[in-house]
Amino acid sequence: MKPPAKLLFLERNTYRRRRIGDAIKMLPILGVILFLLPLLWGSRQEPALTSITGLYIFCVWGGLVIGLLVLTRLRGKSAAPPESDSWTNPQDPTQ
Amino acid sequence: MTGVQAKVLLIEDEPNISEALTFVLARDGHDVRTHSDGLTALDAIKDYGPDIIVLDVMLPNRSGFDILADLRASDFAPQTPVLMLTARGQKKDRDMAIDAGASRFMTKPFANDDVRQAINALLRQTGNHA
Amino acid sequence: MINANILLVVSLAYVVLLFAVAFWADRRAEAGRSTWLRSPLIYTLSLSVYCTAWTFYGAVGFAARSGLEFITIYLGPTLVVVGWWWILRKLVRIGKAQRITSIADLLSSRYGKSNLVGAIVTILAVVGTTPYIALQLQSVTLSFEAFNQVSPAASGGGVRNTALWVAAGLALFTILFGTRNLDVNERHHGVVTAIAIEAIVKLFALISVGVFVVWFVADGPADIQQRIDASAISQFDVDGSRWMGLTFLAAAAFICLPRMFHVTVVENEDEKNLEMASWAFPLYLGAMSLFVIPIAVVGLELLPADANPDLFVLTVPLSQGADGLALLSFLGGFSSATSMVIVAALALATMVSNNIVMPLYLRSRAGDGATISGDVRNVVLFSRRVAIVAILTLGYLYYSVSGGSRALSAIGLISFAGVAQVLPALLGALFWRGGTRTGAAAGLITGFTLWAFTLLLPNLAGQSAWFGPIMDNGLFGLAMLRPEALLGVTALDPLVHAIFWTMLLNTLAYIIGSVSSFPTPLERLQSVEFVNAFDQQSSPKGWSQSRAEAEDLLVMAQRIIGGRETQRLFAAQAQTQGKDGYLPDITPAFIETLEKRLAGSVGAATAHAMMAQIVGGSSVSVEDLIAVADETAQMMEYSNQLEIKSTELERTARQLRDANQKLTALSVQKDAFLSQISHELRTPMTSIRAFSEILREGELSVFEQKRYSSIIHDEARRLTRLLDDLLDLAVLENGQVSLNIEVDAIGDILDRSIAAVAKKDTKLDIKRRRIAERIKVQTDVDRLSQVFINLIANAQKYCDADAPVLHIEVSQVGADVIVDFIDNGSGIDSPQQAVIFEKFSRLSDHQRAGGAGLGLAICREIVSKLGGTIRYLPGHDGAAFRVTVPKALALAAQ
Repeated sequence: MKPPAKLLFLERNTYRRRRIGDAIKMLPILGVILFLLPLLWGSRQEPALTSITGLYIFCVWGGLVIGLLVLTRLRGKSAAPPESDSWTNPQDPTQ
Repeated sequence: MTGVQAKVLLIEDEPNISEALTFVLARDGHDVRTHSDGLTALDAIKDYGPDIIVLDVMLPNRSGFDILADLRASDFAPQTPVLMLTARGQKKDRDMAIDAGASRFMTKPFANDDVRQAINALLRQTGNHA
Repeated sequence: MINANILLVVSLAYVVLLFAVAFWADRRAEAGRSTWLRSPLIYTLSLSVYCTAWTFYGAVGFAARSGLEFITIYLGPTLVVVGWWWILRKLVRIGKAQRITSIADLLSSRYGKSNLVGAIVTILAVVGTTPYIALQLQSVTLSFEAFNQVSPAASGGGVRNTALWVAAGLALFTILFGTRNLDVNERHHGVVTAIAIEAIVKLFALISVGVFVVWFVADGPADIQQRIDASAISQFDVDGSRWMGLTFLAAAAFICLPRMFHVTVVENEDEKNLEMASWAFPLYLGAMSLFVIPIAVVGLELLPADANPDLFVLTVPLSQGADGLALLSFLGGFSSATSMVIVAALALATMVSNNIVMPLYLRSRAGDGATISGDVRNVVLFSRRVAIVAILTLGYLYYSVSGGSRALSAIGLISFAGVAQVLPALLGALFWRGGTRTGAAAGLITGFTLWAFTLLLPNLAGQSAWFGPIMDNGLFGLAMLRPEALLGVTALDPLVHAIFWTMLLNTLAYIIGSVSSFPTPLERLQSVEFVNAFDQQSSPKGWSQSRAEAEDLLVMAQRIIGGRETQRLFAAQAQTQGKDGYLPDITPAFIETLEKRLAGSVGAATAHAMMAQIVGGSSVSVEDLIAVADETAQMMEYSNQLEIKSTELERTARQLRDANQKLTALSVQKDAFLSQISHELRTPMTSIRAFSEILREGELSVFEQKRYSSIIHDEARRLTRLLDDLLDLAVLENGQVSLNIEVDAIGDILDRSIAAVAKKDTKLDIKRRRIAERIKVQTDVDRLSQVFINLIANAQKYCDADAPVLHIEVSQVGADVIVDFIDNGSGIDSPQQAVIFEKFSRLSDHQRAGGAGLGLAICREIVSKLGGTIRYLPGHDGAAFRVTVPKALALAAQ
């Protein structure tokens, strides 16, 4: 669905930016899984503790924040080509 | 009425129509004979030697067109004027009739006077009976 | 001690500060020094309007009741923002490209600039948000009361008025800073900056209380952990469906709430701001929720059991004598409430004015033709101001009527669920090109109705006994339709139950509505603009040819976006076209730009309608569709369709050829048939005419007169019979016959048939065998009799024997009844046997006998209608016909 002129092989920086983009896209999915995990903890007789679970959730939260912070910084650092939009299309199969 | 008296052969299979035409033409002084079968029509013409023929298209056993074509190709009466009558009112019937060599073509139902006038006109054209 | 007066002074001072900040920010922005004001930081902070007083106070209350479950309200938005790449980024991109002014505008724009969709979303937003505004007013009032309980000296009478004063003040603020100008981009620097300040205040307040609780009331984190483990909420025993449902709901609300859409999309200055917000806003939310559990636990420990946990954030510091902290906490709650109300009122007012008032105004002005009279700018601004006041009044009224009851706190999630009904249509707008206006409207209405039924109604039922019967017995007394147990689903928590059903049926209605309807050209264009937002280099043109004068457009634009702005825009456009002055050529590109600029002020649907008034012809031309088809993406689809089309074409051509052959054959048949009819009709008419002319001329003998009249009479009857037969046949052949099924013995039918025929002096001798005729048939007796009459009459007419005899023989073979009619005449030659059942197949020598050759054709039709056959039976001396009638329905005699 893309113009045929699209490059299939990219220079290092652009390639790197794309892979960072992929990572950014994966983060919310990771977040959903990790936030659902506490539901599987404990048992009916011995449920998980609020304090432990709370701590876990805040750790995941912090992890997501740090992950995004690092990734967006990295993306900013790798020299940005002037037009960066075509690679951000989520439907783009070439990514 | 017109003073032209002639021998008319009426080839028509519908008896009522035959009767009506015979009545009308005889009243004008013509000598009218009728015939109702297609297959033997040519023989009837040969026998009688009419001055004019009134020919129906839809005849039993043989169509009027075929009879006419044979007549035009015959050696005994190729020039006899023929007034064709048909009850099939389509244009192609008229075309077929003219192609086959009909002198005149009329669609049923007709006015009696039209038939009489057509016959008189045809007789005058051939001119052998002044 | 803090009394009401001090509270009032502090609140007022805080409000004055906000006004000042907003005023200063607006001035800076006007002076063109707004860079700092538009930093990603301010953007991130402005997103905190998500955290309302309900979350500021209510989160602790929520936690005190249900433990960690409260955190789902923050997890949802966190996931959405962390996943900014998927949805928010696209929303912001589209918001900019299309100059979107509100979420209603976005949906209206996507679904063909439809007023209908915009209006539905607006109504939904107003209904969903009003109780939420009431909730904010309530929380402010409650926080005032909290102080009063500690110092009862303050007058209680003023408390109720607090809400009124707060509402009035907020209306004033919103009007002042939200509708000061009709900004092209619908951005409000003053408002956003004030919101950012409030974001800091509420975060600072909550963290302060948290720090106080952890390090001053308790002895640090370890002690807090012990206290948590010892508390009533020590166990993490949440219901999985609620955990997921609430997270989903909060995520959906974060995207769909009008105020959230306003700050994330409309007020967004730069797409890059999202990048920082993606990690900074989750951080903010994390910080907001970090101390919720500790405050809740300590509150449960310190305060009496009947204390309202929703006010722990205030009452815990108060109970410890930390008045200053309590005051700060009060300001935090106040900030949360005010920022929410301001942005919500602003967003709703924009929606109301752009999606309801302006379309109505334009419609009322439709007769005015091309020029829009009056200053539209003022109309828009005025309608917004009125809308702001109306919305806050509505919120206040809701608060007063519901009596500030506790039930109001349940409204928060109900409100979320209400606005979340926009989600299917919104996601469809972004990702599915097949979504249509019909589908969107269907989904929204379905979701909204179900939401009202499954959530709003039970909430109201809590306050009024009137709804009790519906709650207990279901709608119309159907147990399947109980609001909280639809189709008998009782295992789910009421809220999750409502989310499940509304989302399921909403999405279903959206998809079914979309799939079964066909989008207008404009909808299809917009779907490409939205779904392929990142591929679009240039937008397809919505306006192909224009009859508008540049001056008309200038006049109109000035009335909407103001003189200076308009002149600047027009001059710039003229310059890019290489012209001097203020009047550019009316190119499609220019009109497109102008429309989008206007859309930024009055919404897409309205802008489109206004442009349509001037430019004329709001429809999209074929050229525009070709422009869409030119897009690379479309090319593929297009050629695919061509392939399908050409296959289809081939098939159609083949079908046409077949049909043509059939038609030609039919036409030949028809010609022959018409010739026949013509002949059959004209022949008797010829006789009638000829003889009537002869009769008219007179001079006939009596015999002749009599004879000729009887010929006329007979021929006329022949004509009538022929017409009767033709009509009968036509009816039979068209299958329009309704059979009148009866049971009768064959013998009786034959009796009647013979009686009908044999009226005259006939020589025909009919021989029958009565015993065999006792067979009974179940069939249309009259029709069968008609067949028999025909056959007998034929024998009468055509049997040429000297002593004509007709044998009628009835027999039964298997499931059939067979009736043979055999005469002793000369019969029918075998070449003609094949054609006797065709129309007009009269046998040559029998013309005189009457019938027009339709009798046997009619017989054949009748018998086939009766499910049987009629055949000529060879091998007999005379003519022989065999009628076979199936007696599939026949009853055995005796």
